[in-house]
Amino acid sequence: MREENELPETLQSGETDNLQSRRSLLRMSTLGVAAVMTIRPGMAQGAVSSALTCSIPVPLAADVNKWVKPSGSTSNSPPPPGSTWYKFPASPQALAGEHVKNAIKFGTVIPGMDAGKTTAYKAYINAKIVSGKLGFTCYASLQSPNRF
Amino acid sequence: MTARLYRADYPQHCRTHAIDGMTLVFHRPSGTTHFLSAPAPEMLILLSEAPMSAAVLCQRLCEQLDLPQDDEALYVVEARLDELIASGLVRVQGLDPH
Amino acid sequence: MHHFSVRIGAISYRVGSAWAAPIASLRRLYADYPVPEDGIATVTARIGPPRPWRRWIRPQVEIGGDHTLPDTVPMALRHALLAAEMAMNMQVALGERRHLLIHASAVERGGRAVIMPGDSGSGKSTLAALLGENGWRLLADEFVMIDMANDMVLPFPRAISLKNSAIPEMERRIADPARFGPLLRQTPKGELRHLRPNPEAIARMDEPARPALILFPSFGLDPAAEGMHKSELFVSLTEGSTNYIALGQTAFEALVRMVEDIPAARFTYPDSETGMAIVEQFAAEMGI
Repeated sequence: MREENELPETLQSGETDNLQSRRSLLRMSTLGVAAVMTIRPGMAQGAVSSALTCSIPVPLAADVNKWVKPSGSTSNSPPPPGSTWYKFPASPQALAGEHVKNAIKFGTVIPGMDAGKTTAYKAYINAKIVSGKLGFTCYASLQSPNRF
Repeated sequence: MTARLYRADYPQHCRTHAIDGMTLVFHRPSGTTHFLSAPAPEMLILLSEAPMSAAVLCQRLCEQLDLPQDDEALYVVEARLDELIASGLVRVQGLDPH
Repeated sequence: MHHFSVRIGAISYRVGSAWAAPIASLRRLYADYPVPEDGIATVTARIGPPRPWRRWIRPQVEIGGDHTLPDTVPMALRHALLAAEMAMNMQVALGERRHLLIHASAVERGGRAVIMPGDSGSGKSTLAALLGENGWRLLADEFVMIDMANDMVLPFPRAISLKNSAIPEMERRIADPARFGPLLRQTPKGELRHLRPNPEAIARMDEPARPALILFPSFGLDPAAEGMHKSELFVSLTEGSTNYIALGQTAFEALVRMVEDIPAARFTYPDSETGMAIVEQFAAEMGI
């Protein structure tokens, strides 16, 4: 980068020019203009990043007939009768990004599920939803610090 | 009296670039990009030197800008702090033990 | 599933479709394009029925692939070519992680590129198509790909999607009917017809160009032009980038170099002839 340095140049140049306007910086009249403007790319990025609307399939199509274990790994065999707590079937619908976000961020259960199933699905998402897989863009957007 | 302490990791954990009288910042920890205008960069540098309360920050800033320190200045510093916290560039460190 | 593989610059596609017809349309549209090197596609796009039975009863098309957008609505099967094109666009827009993508068209002359960002309706695509037939080489009509290692524009000469009045305009200028796809009526974007870029654009798709000028066109007003501040340019380019956030610091640094090094201006134009003339005038001032 051409002007790359560790000290902002505005500080250095500002010491000499415009002292008067700098003196007024801490007056209430300046508050109408934001001092911080955050770049928020639009277009598809914005639509994709909307944690409110995106969804994540659990499990992926390749694992659709398998059972999800609390570790996030999958199993080909159903749990033995009477012990459904440690393996969970595929979710019939893709999980809403908003619910997954709340589960990851705040430890809530995904609506319609208990804590065990939520934990297993979260672990599955963490392990299997990698770049290039369906749902990854949604998952990645949930991790973005600005979305929380 | 206890007051909240604020800290910043600027510019050590940022890429900065002067542009049109503003400072363009890429904040590495969050991956976010911001335009800053004065006095935001000055505040961030002071807060990265040591965590401090809004009152101490205001005092240091007023000294630096050769400006009388008054309630209006403190009000503005607090408002700018809110902006910086919302952007993720400033974090609340804890309470001042003094 | 029916399949079609094609290489367009740095992107190798494998497009899948539940129906044969859209794949046949794609084959005609991309007739002169190379196949992926070693037969390996890097991007998968597909269109299929939203529910299995929709394939047979009142067929509809849904867009899919490695990446999906929540708001892509199913379309009528007669618009399946549009759906396939959108799927191909979307997979690159959302999935590209090597190169910075800017929502813009671009043309080249003498090794130097003019990048034209703009929203849909700005006419950036039509202008690029016109310039591409008038002494310029078309580099891209929708996504400009920047190689962040050397800041060069990598050609991505996809089929150009002409909309509404741009369709008869290009039909008048291009004699070869084989370069046009079928006319699609009553699509979500109005009338739409795809145009294959000319043979030069396809033959030179592996030849990058140095960006020399950034022009923001907007259509429909009296001719006017004004310079842009670097900060404004930075904001506009990031707003139009689909993968700026994902690429992190590398993209930040590449964009800072671009706004520092490349002059930029915006202009308005009332018709295509004036639009082309304004671009030519800017180019002449830059010695392009």
